[in-house]
Amino acid sequence: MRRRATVKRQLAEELDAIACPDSTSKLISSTGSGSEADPGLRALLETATVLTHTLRQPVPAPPGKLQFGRAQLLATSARQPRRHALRERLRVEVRFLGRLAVALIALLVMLAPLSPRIVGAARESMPGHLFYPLKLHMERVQFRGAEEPDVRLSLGLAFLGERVAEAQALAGTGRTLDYETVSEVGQLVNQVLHALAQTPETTMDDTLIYVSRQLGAYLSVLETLNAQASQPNAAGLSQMKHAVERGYLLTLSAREDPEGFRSAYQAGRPEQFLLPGDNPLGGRQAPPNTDQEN
Amino acid sequence: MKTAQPVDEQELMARARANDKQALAALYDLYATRIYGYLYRRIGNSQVAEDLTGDVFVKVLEAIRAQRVWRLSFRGWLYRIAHNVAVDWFRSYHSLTGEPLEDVEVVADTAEPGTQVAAIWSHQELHRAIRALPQTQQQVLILRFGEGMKTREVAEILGKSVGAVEALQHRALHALKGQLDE
Repeated sequence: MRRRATVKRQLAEELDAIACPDSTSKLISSTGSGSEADPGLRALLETATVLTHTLRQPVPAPPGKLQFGRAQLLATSARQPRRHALRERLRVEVRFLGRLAVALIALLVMLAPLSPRIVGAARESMPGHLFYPLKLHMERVQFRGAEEPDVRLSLGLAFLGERVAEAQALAGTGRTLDYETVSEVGQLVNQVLHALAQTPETTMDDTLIYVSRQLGAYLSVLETLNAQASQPNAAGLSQMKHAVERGYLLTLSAREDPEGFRSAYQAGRPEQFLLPGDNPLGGRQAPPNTDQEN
Repeated sequence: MKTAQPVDEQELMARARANDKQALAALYDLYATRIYGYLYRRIGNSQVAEDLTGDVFVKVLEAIRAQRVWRLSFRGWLYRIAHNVAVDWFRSYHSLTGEPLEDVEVVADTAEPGTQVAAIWSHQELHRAIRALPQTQQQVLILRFGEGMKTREVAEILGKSVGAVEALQHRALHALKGQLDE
């Protein structure tokens, strides 16, 4: 076994000496005798020697003196940079987008266990809170997802009531109403009116009474808050009050002319449905708040 | 065999990446003759070997620009690309002509007349016998005995262990001896 390994090693060294004579010429003299004893190995070394001699013969000169390849290389180098730059740019962008996607996925994975808590915190949040925009967004999604007009109407009134409750809560703390909350009230009133116009004709009268009473109640709260409001909150509360007041007056008018209300809103032209006091020159006189009195 | 200094290669490669034509030309001038010799020994046709030499360097340029980093020495990487180009050529040649690879034209014998080597086997016989070997064995013989590379270098180029290259070399020499003795 040891002898076989020694012979193998000698053969490798002698082949190395044949292949790379410059670096291993000294080895030939020291190991050459080992293979001479084995005719099979000797034959291999002779083959290697012949092979080396033959393969090291000078090769014929290239017909074009390698100039064509040189010109081809330089021409290619002149032609490709723009494509290369675009490819590199795309690669960088793909790499960036890949990292962004990984980061987003990691963030979602991290937030997944927290999401019920976040949703809960958002639902409880007040204007100015970190999660308050999420609360408004969730409400909008819920409202848009409702298909039945009755459901939309109920949701719109509930969210409007939530805004009024928030205004009431903020008034107690002395904090100022933000623009988002104020403008949200105007949008909610419009959504309630549009949903109201879509309700079935058979139940329209009862629905109109219910909505006008709800809006009247909100208006009453806002009027009280507005009367007590400090200077910074007065403008926002006044704007909210006017939005709810207009909705309330429109429902009162609609009770007088339900068909006119329905046709104007269903046609997408709510401005055609005028309040009792409206006239082309503007200005109006509000009807008495009979429901509140009741 | 004279080899380029690694530092010079790195500098040339860095300049080549920046589309420096002089660096590309310098790399070509440094290695084109060796690659041509290698391809000639693989293929046995000077015109084809010259054409493929140009292809090798275009592939090198593409690789440099695509920032594909080689794990071998630059010389080893170059020979690997040359090997792949030669294999592709053999495949396309065979599929186009249907001729066996050993029928490729062999250039005239350049061995000096009267030498012992020329007396034993002709240059043509030897080339034909080499081309009858499996591709990897051909590669090992040409890199070892044609290009004078050490076993370790050949192992790097072929992506094999030193032991595997020695075994391939042993088998190739046996097979070659057997063919030439027939």
